[in-house]
Amino acid sequence: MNTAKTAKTAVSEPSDEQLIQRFQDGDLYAFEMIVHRYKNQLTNFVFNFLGNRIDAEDVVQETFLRVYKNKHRYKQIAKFSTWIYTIASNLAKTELRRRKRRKLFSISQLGFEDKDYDIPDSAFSPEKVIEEDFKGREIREEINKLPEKFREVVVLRDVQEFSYEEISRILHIPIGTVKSRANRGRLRLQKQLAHLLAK
Amino acid sequence: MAPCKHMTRLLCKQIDGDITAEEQHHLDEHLTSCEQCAAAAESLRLMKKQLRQLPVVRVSDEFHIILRDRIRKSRIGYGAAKIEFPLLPRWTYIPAAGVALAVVALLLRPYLSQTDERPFSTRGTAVAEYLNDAAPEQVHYVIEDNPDSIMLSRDDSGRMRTDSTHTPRESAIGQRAGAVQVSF
Repeated sequence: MNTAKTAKTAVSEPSDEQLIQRFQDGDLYAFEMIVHRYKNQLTNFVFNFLGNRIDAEDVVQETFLRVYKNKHRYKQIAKFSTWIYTIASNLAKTELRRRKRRKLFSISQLGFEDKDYDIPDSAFSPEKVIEEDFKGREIREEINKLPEKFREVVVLRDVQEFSYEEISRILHIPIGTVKSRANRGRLRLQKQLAHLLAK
Repeated sequence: MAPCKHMTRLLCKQIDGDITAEEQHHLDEHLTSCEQCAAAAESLRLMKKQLRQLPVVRVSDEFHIILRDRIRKSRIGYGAAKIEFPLLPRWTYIPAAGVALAVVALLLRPYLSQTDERPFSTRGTAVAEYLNDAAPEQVHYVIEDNPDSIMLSRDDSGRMRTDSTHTPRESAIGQRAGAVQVSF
C-alpha cells in the first residue's frame, strides 16, 4: 500500500533532479514545472535579501533565464535547489553591488495596497491580517538593515530553512563560517527587533 | 537583553535544534540563574518563529509573460526546439563560417565581376550625353588615372563629347587642355 502510494507520488511529483534531467533531454514542460515550483520561494529569498519586490522578480527571472540557457551545466552531483539558489544569490549580490555603485538606497515597495501577501492564517481576521502585514514588513526592513554577509545566511537559514550544509554549498563558504555568521546575524537582528519581540 | 557571551553559541544551537543533551543541561542551569540569557533565549525563539512565518510574497501575474519574453529575446526560443549542431565541435565554427563565405563569394563572382561590355566609344558617348543633359550642379567628375575611365573634351559649342584621340591610358591628367578624364 505504502509502496503504491510512494510510486504514485513519484509519478505525479517528480523530484527537482528528475525535472532538470528531463529538461536537459529537451522536455520544455519540465522547465515550466521548475519555474512553477521555484518562482515564489526564490522571489521570497531575493525579496528578503534585496528588500525590493520589483528588483526581486527581475533577479528571479534572470535566474530562470540562466537555468534555461545553461541547463547542460547542471550536474547531478549537486542538489538542484543548491544550484538554482546559488545562481539567484549571485545575481542578488550583483544587484546589490550595482545599487551601491549607483548609490541607490531602496526601501520595500510593498505597501498596504499590495494584494500579493499570502498570510498563512486559517482564522481570518482583517485586523490580524493588517497587524501581521505590518509586522512582516517591519521585520523585512530590519533584515534589510543587516550587513550583506549576515543577511544572506539568516534569510537562508531562518526564513528559507536550509541546512547549514546547503547554505555552505550555496554561498561557497565553510560551514563554520556559516554558523558563525548565522549566530552573529541573529543576535544583531534580535537587537534590532527588540521592540517587536517584547510585545 | 544581550546574552552572556559564552552562552550565545548554545542559545543558537538550541534554536537550531542540534544541541546535545549535555549542552542543554548546561544551558538550562545557566538560564535559571541568568535573567538576561533567559530573556534572550525567549526572544530568539520568538524571532525564529516570526521569521519562519513571514508572509509569502507571490510573483506578479505578468511574471510568466515577462519570463517567456526574456527567454524569446535571448534568441533561444521559448516553446520552440533549440537548433543545435551536435556534429560540429565549437572550434570548427569560425573555419566553417570562412568556408561558407568563400563558397558564397565564388557563386556570386560572375555577377560581381560583370562589366559594361559596350565599346569604349559608345560608353563614352552615353556619358557625354548624360553630362550635357544634366544640370551643372548634378555633374560630378572623378578625375583619376584609371584605364577604365573615359576621356571627354568640349567641342566648339561647349558640349561634351568623347575624345577618341586621347585614351586615358596614354594620358597624364591635366596634360591636354580641355579634356577631362571621367570615371563612374
